[in-house]
Amino acid sequence: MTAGAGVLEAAKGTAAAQAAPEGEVLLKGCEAIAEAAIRSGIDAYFAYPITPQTDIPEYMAEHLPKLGKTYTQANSEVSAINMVYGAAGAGLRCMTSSSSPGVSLKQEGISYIAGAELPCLIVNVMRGGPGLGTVYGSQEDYWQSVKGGGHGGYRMPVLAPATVQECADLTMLCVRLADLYRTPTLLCLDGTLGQMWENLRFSTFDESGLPPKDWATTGRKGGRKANLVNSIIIEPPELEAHNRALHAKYAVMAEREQRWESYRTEDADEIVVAFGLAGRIGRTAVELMRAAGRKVGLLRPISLFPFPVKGLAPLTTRARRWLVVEMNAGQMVEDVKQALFDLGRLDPVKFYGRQGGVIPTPEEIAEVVEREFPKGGAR
Amino acid sequence: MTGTATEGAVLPRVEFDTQVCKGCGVCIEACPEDIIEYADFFNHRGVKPTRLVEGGLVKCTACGNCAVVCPDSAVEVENLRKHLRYGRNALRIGDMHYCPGCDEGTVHELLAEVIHDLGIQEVTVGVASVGCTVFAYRYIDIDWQQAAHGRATSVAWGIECQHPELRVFTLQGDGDLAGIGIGETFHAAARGDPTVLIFLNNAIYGMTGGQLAPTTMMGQVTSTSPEGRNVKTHGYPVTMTEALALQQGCSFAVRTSVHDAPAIRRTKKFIRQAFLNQEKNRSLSVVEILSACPSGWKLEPADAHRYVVETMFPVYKPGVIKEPPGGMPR
Repeated sequence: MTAGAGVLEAAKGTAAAQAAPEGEVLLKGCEAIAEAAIRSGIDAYFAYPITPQTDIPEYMAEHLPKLGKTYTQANSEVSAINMVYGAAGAGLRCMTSSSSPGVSLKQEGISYIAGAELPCLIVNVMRGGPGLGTVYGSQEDYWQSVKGGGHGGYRMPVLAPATVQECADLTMLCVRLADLYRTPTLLCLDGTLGQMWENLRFSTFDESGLPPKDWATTGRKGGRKANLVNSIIIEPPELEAHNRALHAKYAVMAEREQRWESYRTEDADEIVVAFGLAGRIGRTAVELMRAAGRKVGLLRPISLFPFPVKGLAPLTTRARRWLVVEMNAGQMVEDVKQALFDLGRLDPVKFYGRQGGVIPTPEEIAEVVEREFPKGGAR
Repeated sequence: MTGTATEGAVLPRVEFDTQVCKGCGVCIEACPEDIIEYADFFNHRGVKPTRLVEGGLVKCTACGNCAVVCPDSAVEVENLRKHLRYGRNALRIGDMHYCPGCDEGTVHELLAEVIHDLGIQEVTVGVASVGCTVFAYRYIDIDWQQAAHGRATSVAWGIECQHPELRVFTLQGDGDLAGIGIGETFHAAARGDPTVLIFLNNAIYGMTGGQLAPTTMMGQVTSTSPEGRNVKTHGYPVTMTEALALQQGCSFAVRTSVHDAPAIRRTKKFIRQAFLNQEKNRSLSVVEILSACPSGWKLEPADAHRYVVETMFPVYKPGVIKEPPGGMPR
């Protein structure tokens, strides 16, 4: 792909470029996602404006048409996700992006895409809810993202970046996983990260081992057998067989695609579990508490589905106290409790959350740990 | 010279598939020679199929009307002298799930014929919608996508946006196109997508059992307008094709019907013109087809076809609503 090079070229001579080390570029989280998607070979992008992700359609509108690719501003998020359905079904590498209320509108289409097993990327730059809520960043869509926001009990890989660098890297990974598993994938970040500027370095998209899209509706050229992109399977035994195959695929994803970051967990008695921006703040909180003599570590899930049980399991040999921090009223904490239970652990799991777009501070998190886990009461 | 009046005459070949037949009887209505009757046995569907009357073949003019009007493509007529054949096209596959006498089967046959005649089966992709057309992919042997309710035109744009070689059409009912999907449909016209919209207007939600639709006629009794449609409760019928024709991105709009053999032959020409317009003008083409729903309307097929003419035509006037620039494609 050449668009990325174009960005780097265009940035030359700007104050930002001069400040950036060689090979790095200064971008917003949203722009990094857009550029990474272009470098992943996206053929088509469909979306509808909504704060705080509108930098993505703006970036796409500027760059995609120059590459001969499709940029369409749809009449609604509902329409955009169905354009994704059609394009993905026709074999295009394609995506849409939105923010929480808009992603709610897309849920019907995502369910159809999951049922029809179409590869695509959906980006949710989360804002506070419910309802119209606020335009400020939040993590209130965890449940919607990982528990199947639409109907029918499907799953899809959900990746949550914590830095602008990860915004780019995980966008590329989402596009790859989509094609690899023939599945929708969701990149899930809060609005603050979407608007945050950081230096980053783009990697090269990994095309290796991706299966051909011989199921796509590209016309029966050469008289081949007709292809069908479809999610209606009216006979119950046939739908059950289809759903079993889907869930067998989800089990493979759960086995192979767990991702996480562990920070200072080797000797930790207490673990802070947090994803995305909360995870990034949690890292600073761990540093604060370590400086004060607490043996605290951080587990930052990067894949929200599959939940990184493999990252959590080794920590249970030592850690006995867990604090889950989220920018919501407590959603991922359920998965942490379930994972510990499945591992045979009945450790206390505490929760701390800020809501409505309020961002927790490292000091706040350290105070909560002090309060919830008084010294000496560890074991 | 010797001989009889019939010397040299070649009898037509007429075949009724008595197992495919659903016994709707529209072929009996359509026969100008009155030589079709119900058989005296039941087929596997539990209905008495139609057949030629004893000795009827000598009166048959091979006009092909019975084959043309059969919604299940169960009749084949061949004029062996003129080498004309009427009946199921090679692209029309499978037995259809539609109720006896449903016009949607007729439209499938026409679509299969047009796609075959234009030789575009290798580049055509259909979009089946939600409603009675949901299983359309079972009946025409081309690539298909099945779309969510109302979203067919958005799906179509996704298919064609990077595939200019593809000929994409949607097959949508009135609830899909004029109700839940009115936004998607309207914006396909506003964008000027190169899609052919085949709009089956039967004034009712057929698949769910005959509820009030945006297109239901004033006074029409449905399961959710038991006293008949009235303005106070239900508002007025939506005239969608006129609205689409007003948009610059729509270059061809026509309303037609399939209530008898001449209407079906006209409709085939309009569908053909829509596909030709798609190629020539690369913008939206709309063919609204007034379709009888005998089951939903609780009418015999012949009465349902009369309802199309007597009740629907005054509100949904047939004819070309918007001619493409440079006139109608031929």
